[in-house]
Amino acid sequence: MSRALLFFRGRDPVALLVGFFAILVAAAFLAYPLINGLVLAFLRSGDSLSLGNLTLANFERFFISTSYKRALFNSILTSGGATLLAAALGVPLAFAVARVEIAWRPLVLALSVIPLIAPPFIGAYAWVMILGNNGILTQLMVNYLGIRPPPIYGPWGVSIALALSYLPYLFLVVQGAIATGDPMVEEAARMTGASNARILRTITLPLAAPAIAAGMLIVFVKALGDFGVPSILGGEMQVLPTLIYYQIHGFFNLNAGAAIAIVNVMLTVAGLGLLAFVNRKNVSTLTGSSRGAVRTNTLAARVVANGFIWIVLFLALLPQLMVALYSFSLRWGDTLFPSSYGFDNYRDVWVEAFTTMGNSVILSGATTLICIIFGAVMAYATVRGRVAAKWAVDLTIMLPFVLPGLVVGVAYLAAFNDRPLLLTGTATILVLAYFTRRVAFVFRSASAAVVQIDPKIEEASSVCGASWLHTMRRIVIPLLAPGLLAAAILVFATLIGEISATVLLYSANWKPISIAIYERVLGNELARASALGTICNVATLVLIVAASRLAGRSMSEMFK
Amino acid sequence: MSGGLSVRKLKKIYSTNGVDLTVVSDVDLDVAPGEFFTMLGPSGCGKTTTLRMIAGLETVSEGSVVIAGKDATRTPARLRNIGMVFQSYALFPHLSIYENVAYGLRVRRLPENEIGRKVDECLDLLALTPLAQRLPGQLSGGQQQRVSIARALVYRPPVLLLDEPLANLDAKLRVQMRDEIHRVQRSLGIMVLYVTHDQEEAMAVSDRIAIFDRGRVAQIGAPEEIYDRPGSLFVADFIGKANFLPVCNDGAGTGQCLLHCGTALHPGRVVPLAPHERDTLPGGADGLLMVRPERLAPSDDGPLRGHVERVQHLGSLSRSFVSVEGVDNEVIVDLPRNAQRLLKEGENCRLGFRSADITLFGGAV
Repeated sequence: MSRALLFFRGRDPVALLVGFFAILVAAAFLAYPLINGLVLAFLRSGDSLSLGNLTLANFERFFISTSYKRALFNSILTSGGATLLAAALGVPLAFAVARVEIAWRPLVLALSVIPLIAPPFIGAYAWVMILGNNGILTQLMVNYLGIRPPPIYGPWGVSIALALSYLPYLFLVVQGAIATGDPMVEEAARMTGASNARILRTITLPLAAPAIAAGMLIVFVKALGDFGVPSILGGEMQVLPTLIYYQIHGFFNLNAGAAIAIVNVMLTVAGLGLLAFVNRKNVSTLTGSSRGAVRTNTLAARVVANGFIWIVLFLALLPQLMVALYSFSLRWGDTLFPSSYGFDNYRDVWVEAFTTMGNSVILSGATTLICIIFGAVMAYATVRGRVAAKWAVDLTIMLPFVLPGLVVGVAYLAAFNDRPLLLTGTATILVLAYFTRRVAFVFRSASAAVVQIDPKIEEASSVCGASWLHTMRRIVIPLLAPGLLAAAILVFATLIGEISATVLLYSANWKPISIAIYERVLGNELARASALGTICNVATLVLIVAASRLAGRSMSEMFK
Repeated sequence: MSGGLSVRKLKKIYSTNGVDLTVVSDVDLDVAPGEFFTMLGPSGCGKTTTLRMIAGLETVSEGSVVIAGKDATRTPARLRNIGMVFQSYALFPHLSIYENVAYGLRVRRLPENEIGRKVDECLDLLALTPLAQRLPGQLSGGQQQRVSIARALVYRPPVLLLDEPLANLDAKLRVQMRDEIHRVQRSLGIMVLYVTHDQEEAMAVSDRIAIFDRGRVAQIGAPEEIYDRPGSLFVADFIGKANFLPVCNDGAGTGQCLLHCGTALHPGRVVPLAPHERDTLPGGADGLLMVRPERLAPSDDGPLRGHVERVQHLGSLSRSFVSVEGVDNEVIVDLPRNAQRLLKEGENCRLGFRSADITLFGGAV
């Protein structure tokens, strides 16, 4: 019997159909826009696709144009700076939380993820409120100390804001690795007579190194793709995502945008390559100890650890606190706190908040639904080996995960800009772009959930006489439900604040709340932006807490 | 054999990247209704694959499976109407014990009152009634396995398949559950097809055993038959403890063979051969003599001379390891603790056996 026939033999036709459909969707909405965007980068604006028209002209500007060279340099500078800063704060923070006996550990872990929940650009303009030209701290320092702090606009401000926004990713990864490390390895080192400092240097840090490298990579990739922070705090400075935005919004030059996007992605890939290089000696812990790491309990360690933890948390949460406080302030001059409070800002934005939040809910909700159905089906099909080309599925689904939002935006703008696939300006294109960016998330958690289900359980069901559909309905779906629901809420919540793909694709009819906030910030209506931002933050936070309750996991676990 | 199960020329070939790997071949089995039949063998011998082909969970490459007179070779698992118990229990973790057991009945769309009656009956049979409303996660391993058995029995399948059902349990519980399965099988008179790698388990409960070796059936027989008269060296070695002694037919046609061990000539070195064994070991040929440890005893004129290296006390018996001249491995001797003569560490001894208690294997030396 030929291999092709063997493949079909004994397989459920429903499972095959599902796999086929999944591949079709992946090809149309994931593979096609990305490949199309790739091709576009090698064409001049307005040229049609033919072999003779292929050109490197769009990339040439990285060698001749000062603004391109600057943007590339600034992207590396700010992302690299943010990464180093996040590591400098995050690694000690992780050690403090994992290895010292601290009070309120669950609270610390829960608070640490809040910067991830709130959209980074909201945090960015909070820094403007604090240290901008008319910022609270700036005015206080000018009035009482007679010195003017260095301007927040530019590479420093961007790096700091990005670092504090994405710090939790690094912290969670490193903290998890240190907290679950086998204490016996260190005990063995201690038995040989090694000092604590030596153990830290020769055992603990090297074992945590892969996690630190992975955490730094996440920060780097996220910072590289961030649009909101540099567009608000960059001032005159351009980075690659803002350059893409201006090429497209200013000149409607999709080809140039696509070329910049490719360079942006290449930086991301370089980061991934660097990680693979660092981790080439794959040292994994050899034992599965059920004991967690031993925590230090000396007074000095606790004082230092607690102090450090709360200072970093305060810094990371300060922007969100500022936004909340600002939203209730009527007048905030040169004082530490607003001089009068009220609900005026909320009253001013109430109608806009209602309609844009409505749009956000519809767009995010629709995306979430599609993500859940598609992600779960694909995850089931690939984990259970009922799809022929697993690697193709993995690639198409996981690829957009590393792509910056603006890159996805460009790809979609280019792919669906013409008949018969004219989708620009519709809600559909936003939903599809969101889908591309978030489906990997659902796919990952659904895969993990499917792996948890012993295939023998499904076999037991069919031996009992149940059909494939009956098994799905009564056994598999109920078992996947809690994990899927948690993933759904997380997708939904993080889409509410999405800006980097949205900013290229939204239309006036479908303006989400994130864009409404962004516009107010650009218009320097910071108090009203804060009111909108607070509504957005609170809604998101409530959803995430609900998701963690449903999944029975702590908030910090949800982001791993 | 209308109500039984029969398997003919069963074969399973896995092909990965164009390379064919035969894991089961030429397996013929006939199991009678009410019989407790065990497939026994080391891991990777094809016994579980055979069971899964009978269940319909693996496709059959060649051969046929007939259940209760009907050819089921190509029937999907869900239509074969069989019960199966998995090593990992495979309980539905989100359903109560009651609902787990009721599952097969609900699939068969039985009326609610009948479902209730049958489930209660089954829970009672396996002493699970007090646990009916619990979730599987709240049960111990042994309890979970009982639920798994109840779930497979509730719709009264003609055959119950058990795939290493005791492998995940600790030693004491394993014996308990083994007896439980045996009791339920006897009281329901159901046909059981049981897979295990534990020979003691197989010997204890089976009516008949099929020994698997590298994808083939090496021997089928009642437990005592397989123990006393193993058909091959593999079976002799796999089942129980065995001592192998190199021998040679003296070639004189006297119906005797010579033990190769020991240098000093004495009359005890000659072992008389039963007529059927002369065919196994023709004149002048070399072979191996197998004798079970409990069939050896100290004897002043025994054919084996040895030195007692170590003695272990295993409850009711005393196990001695004796180094014998000309034999590579230490010879194991099991004596009842109350035997008139026991072996002592460090002493020299002579060992003897009855010629009825030996099995000869030709060819290999």
